[in-house]
Amino acid sequence: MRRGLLLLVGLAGAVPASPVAAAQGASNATLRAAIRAYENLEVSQALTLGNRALREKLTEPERIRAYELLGFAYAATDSLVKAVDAFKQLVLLEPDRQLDPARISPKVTTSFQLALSQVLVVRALQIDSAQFVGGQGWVPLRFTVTSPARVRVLAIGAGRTVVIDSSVATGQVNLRWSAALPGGDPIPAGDYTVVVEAASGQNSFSASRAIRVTQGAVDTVPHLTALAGYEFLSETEVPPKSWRPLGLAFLYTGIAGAGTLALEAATLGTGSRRELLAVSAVTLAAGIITTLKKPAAQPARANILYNRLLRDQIARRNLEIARDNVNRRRQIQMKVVPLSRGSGR
Amino acid sequence: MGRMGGWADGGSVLAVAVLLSAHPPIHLSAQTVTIGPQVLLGDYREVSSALRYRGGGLGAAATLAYKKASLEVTYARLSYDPIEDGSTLESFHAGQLDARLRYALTGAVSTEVGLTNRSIDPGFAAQSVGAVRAGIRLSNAIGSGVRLNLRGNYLLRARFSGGGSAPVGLEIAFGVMGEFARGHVRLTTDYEFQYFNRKTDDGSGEVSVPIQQALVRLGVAVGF
Repeated sequence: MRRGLLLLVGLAGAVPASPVAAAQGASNATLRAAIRAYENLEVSQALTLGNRALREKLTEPERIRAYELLGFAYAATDSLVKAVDAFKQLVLLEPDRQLDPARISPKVTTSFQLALSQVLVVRALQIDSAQFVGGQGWVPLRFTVTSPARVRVLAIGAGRTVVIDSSVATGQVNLRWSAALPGGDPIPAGDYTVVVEAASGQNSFSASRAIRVTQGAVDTVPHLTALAGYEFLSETEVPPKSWRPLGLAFLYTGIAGAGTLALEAATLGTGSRRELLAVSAVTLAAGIITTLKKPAAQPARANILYNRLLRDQIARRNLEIARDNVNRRRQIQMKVVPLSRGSGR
Repeated sequence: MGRMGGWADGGSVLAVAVLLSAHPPIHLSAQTVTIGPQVLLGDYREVSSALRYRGGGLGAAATLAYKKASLEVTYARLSYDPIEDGSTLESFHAGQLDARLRYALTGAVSTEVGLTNRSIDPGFAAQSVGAVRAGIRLSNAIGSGVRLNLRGNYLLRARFSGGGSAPVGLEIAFGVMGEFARGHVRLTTDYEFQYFNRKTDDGSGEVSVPIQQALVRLGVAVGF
């Protein structure tokens, strides 16, 4: 009773979401019959038909489907070794195959994980899009090696092969590729294939992914005309109204008048002093007018100094920007984009 | 009365003024030059209240400023007539040359030295005089392009065509200057009072024969 329940759970998780559709998708009649038998919980019939289908001519997707069916069916019948063998064939054919442990029986997933650990494949090769200045950035690469192996990562294209990395690795591997030639120069633009080769003893496996590398000019930085948060101040200011002009006019007129009166010789008589009065009148009038007139704007020394400092800062910053732009014009903007999915063998 | 002799005659003063104008060597880019005509009104008195003249005339003024130093040279030609109608006094012409070399001690205060020379034609109508001046000038801006000036000079080593000496010679002046057209045009109104406490000895002892002149100068100058 318990065994039957486990089988039911395993089958429920193992069968495709749309087994009928999966069965219809298979053009091989034997395979379709095996799938139907599995769906009808006739596991031994499914095993017989599945093995028979494998001896027939199948397309690769049909072969993948057949091994998957056998893996599930053997796991359901507790034939662990045979289940693992079937899953190993499945993984070799489709390295990126994953089983959802939330939906599939642990018996099946355990067999699948065991199969993964017994074969050498490179799974889940991912290359992220990246855009950076040549020599100042990298392209993120990651993949999983299912068992310890010597792993070489190559970029092949534009008539050359560039070694990205070479090391012994297992499990998840994360790489940062600078997209540069051994000399440090950026790789030429073009389509490349990133190949991950894993070798361990007689076993070897490689996975690849196509990428496109494009190059462009690095944007230059515009020169500054202002600093954020700092504004130029008015370099003139209108002083408050003052009585000083009139006071000075009275003072000067008084001093000159008093001096004249003091210096005049009594023996020469007193004159009309028309000259003194005329110029005094003009001087006092000038004093009154300038007192009443709105004061003219005067240079604001503090603001002038502040603006000078600000201009110096902007000039210094623009000098740095100019130097930076000279460097930027020599740089290359790299853009790496993954193309359609590659393959693994 | 004899002609005034020595360095204070008109030719010598003019030569010194020209010399002052030519020295020190000045770069044109750093200097300011103004030049223009003047209209003058004058009141001249000497010896006693009986010798009083009034007149007017034309003149010219030129200034050259370089940094803190400036040189001002003016020349005026005035015609003086006796004030009292029916006077037997003779009218005369006065040619007055003034030169002032200033140096700004502060923004408002300058010290100045120079010469003054007044020659009379005909020579016996009044006293020709020449003297060295030294003094201080105050100059304050009271508004946009408006400036008040006040100056006082001590007149040293005065020489007179009629002889005698002046232990005290003073000049006091004030006026207003307005600048227009960004300083290229200047209008000036100045009052200038000059006094010499001249003393002579006619054999009977020292006699006080003072000389004083009040001038109004209305000028316009072009600066460049």
